[in-house]
Amino acid sequence: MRVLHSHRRILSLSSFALASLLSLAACGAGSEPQAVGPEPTGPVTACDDAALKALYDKAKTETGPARWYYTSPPEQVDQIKAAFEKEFPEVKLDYVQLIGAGGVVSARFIQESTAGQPTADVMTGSVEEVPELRKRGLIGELTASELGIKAPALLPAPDAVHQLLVPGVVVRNTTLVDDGQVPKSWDEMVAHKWDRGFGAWQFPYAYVSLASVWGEEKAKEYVEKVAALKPFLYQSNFPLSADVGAGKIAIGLGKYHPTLPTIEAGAPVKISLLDPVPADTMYAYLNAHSPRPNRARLFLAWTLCGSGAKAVEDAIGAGNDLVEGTRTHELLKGHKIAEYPIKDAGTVSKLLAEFTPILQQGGTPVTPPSK
Amino acid sequence: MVVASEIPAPVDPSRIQRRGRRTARRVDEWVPLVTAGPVLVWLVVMPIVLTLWSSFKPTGLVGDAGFTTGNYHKVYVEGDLLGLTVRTVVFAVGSACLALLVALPITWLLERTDVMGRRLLRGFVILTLASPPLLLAISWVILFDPRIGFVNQLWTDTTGVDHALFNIYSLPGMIIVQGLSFVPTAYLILAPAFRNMDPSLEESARTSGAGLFMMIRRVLLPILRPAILSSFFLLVIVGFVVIDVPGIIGVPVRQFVLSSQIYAYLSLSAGGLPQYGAVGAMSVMFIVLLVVLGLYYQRMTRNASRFVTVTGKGFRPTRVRLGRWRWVGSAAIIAYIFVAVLLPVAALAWMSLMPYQAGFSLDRVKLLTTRNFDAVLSNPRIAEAALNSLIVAVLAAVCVAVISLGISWTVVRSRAKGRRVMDMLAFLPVAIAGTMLGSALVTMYLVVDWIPVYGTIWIIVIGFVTAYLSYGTRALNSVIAQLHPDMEDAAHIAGAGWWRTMRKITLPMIAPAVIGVCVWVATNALRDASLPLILRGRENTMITSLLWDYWIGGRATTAAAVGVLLIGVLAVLITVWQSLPRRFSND
Repeated sequence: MRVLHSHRRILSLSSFALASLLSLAACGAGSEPQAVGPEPTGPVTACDDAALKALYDKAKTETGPARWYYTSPPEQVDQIKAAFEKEFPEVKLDYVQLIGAGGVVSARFIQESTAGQPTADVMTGSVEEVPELRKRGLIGELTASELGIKAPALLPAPDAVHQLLVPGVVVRNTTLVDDGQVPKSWDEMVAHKWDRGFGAWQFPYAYVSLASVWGEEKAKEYVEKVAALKPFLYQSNFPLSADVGAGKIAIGLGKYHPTLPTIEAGAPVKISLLDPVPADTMYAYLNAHSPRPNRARLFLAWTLCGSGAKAVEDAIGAGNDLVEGTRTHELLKGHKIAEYPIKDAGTVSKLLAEFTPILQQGGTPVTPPSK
Repeated sequence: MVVASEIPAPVDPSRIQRRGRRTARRVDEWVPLVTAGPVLVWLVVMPIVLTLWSSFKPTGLVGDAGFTTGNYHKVYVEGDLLGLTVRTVVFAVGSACLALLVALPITWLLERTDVMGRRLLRGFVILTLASPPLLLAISWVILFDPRIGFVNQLWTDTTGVDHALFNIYSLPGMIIVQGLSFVPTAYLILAPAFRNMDPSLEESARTSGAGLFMMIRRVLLPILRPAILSSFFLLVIVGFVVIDVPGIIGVPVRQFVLSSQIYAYLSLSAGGLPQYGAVGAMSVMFIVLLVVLGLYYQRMTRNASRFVTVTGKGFRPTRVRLGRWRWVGSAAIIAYIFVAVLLPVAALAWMSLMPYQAGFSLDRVKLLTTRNFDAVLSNPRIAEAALNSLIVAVLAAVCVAVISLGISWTVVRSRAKGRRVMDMLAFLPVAIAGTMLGSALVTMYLVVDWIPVYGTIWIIVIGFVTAYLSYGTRALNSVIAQLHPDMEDAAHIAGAGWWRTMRKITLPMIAPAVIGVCVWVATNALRDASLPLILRGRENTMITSLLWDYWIGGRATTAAAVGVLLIGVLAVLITVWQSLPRRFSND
């Protein structure tokens, strides 16, 4: 588990301690075990400009656009492309959207790599995709010095950069759930029989992340409680937020950036955080056999820097919590994050496989997806 | 000096002619198989082989090492396959039955009676094809969502009861939406058969004293049985593989059918790779079911000549005069159009004018905005996707029509070797779910990279040609079966060759059916989401991919705006098509 710090270490530690105490008092003592994990390394204030320039110089000698695979809509990524190419005019960015959840990005990458076809130079995916990619030797090594990043937290493994963090949030319709009814603890969330029902993503990533703090048994029990509410399950967090805004469901557990379009459109939706905040890091990987590795590294490094990180967040809504000045960083200040580190990718896969049928059964005897 | 024994005996000219005819017959027997066979094998057999191969791979990727039967265990033993299959059968058969229950009277009214406003009503009936099933499903959710659906809200406000009139998130809800979306397809299959029927049979029945209903029951329905059965079986099979309605309406409430379960295996698996192996294993059941259905279908329609009604004798199609019932007939069709077309389009239009997804309410009228349309019309990707969709639709339609015509002619009219196998092969793709066909094509053209179609619109064209070949051949099989050989025999006797007979007599007779196939394939290609999603690359985004993006991305209002524009464009195209002179129209 990691805890965030702002760049003023003493002040933020005090704030964190106070916030934690208040959270514990509100949630009820002993409802969550004490988080354990390595000490946080702090946010990045800036990239090493010299390293970026060196990467750019090397990238200029390569040909072809750097190709990025992810799941965001191309229209949003156009903004990222424009910002990147403005800063590095001689390097173009190409983007392919893959539709779906889970390993759909890595699946296409693996298929194309295996067939020797042109494929991604950079791909962004979630932690459980890592073991398969490593097993096949498809992702290349990266170093902090060549990327110009200052904080090791941004490179938690030799082959993966911490590119985005997607925190779980409580999404509610303000006309159906007033401020007094907002759940203040995870137990409160499932104890209440929500009129108009409860919505959730059909994948239990949030509860798997909570297991990193609560332990696997408690997290499993929690999933069973969620399933007992017979939640309305969504293929994606975006329509979940839209349905909350429409009043179809009153409240749900979603993700932060999918709620933004609904809120920005003026729907009566608010979000809140419960501690610990379940989060999923989106890691970015370099294609080990990329014909333009420096262009790929340049793009990776840029997304980790202040300007690039902000451009990414402004475009797709999801941001890097470790980069100061991003909305994600500000949102999570003072909150406890629950997430397994990348070295525990195997545990994440195991728990996803275990929790998914429990959640998706939802009390109704339907066919569970195979493990 | 020439010796008599050295003079070769004169050859009997009749022997030369018989030898020539035998040679020509042998060529006729083998040429179709040699030319069409490899095409069918490439289009149909290769994806099936790859699908089966992947079912035995631990990761489901055909290039990976290893062999396992674990995928079959996962699908057939661990999963609730019986429940899934029962739900699927109920869904598919229910949708097909509903579609035919609605389409049969509509087709009869439009094609065989003097109902008012035929051309306009026909256009509206076909207009439903203009709306992708994805949009139809969304529209019906807007109307019948149990909490915020417009109709349910009106019901609870008016009656004071606290439960919804109808919950769209249910198996009956799926059946209704899918059945209604099938009606124009059923109409396009049935219409040529109704149109080409010799009216002397009806006149004879009336002369003998049969009333309208007896005539329909004892004369029309038996004569039209091949077309009815053909459309029923096709709709049932399509109901097995379609994912739009089950995906939008069934998946949120865990009402899985086989097709949406395949989609879940491919795109909704948490952790690791999509479950290609499980998809392959499940596809085996599809293929087996379809082979059984196909054999049964072939046996039932084998004696097609019994149903020949379009003969060499001249006939002038007449229409049943409904008298004062004309208005009732028109009203019935208008009622269908209102429920199946106008109401969903109105719901979509409402959503397209909202700043965020919201049910209908007079309070929200002040929120009406055109910003969704502004965003759509200023987005260059929309234009690019629209152009891609149009090109793919036209190419796929032409290819399906040409290939289907060749195959159907060979199957129904010729004595070519292997024609039954060709017919079965042409039928098989319907059993392959679009998502699985897409996955197989990705694998195929990644490997066969000397055909550079991967990531381009051409791979989508190939996918649609494969997927819709079954429809094209079924539609043309029944129409060609209804043509009596008299006319072609008369042409041959008069000295016309095969091509001239085809060009001057046969093609004009079946032209409406061929055009119907083109229109159906083009409009379905424009609204199909499964293949464009799986085959998506950098250069081949289609309108339905964008619609899916917007819906999954929570931008239902933008999806609605694109949908309204798409329906508008297709409505114009269909109206223009309907306005063209109809050489063989009964109007």
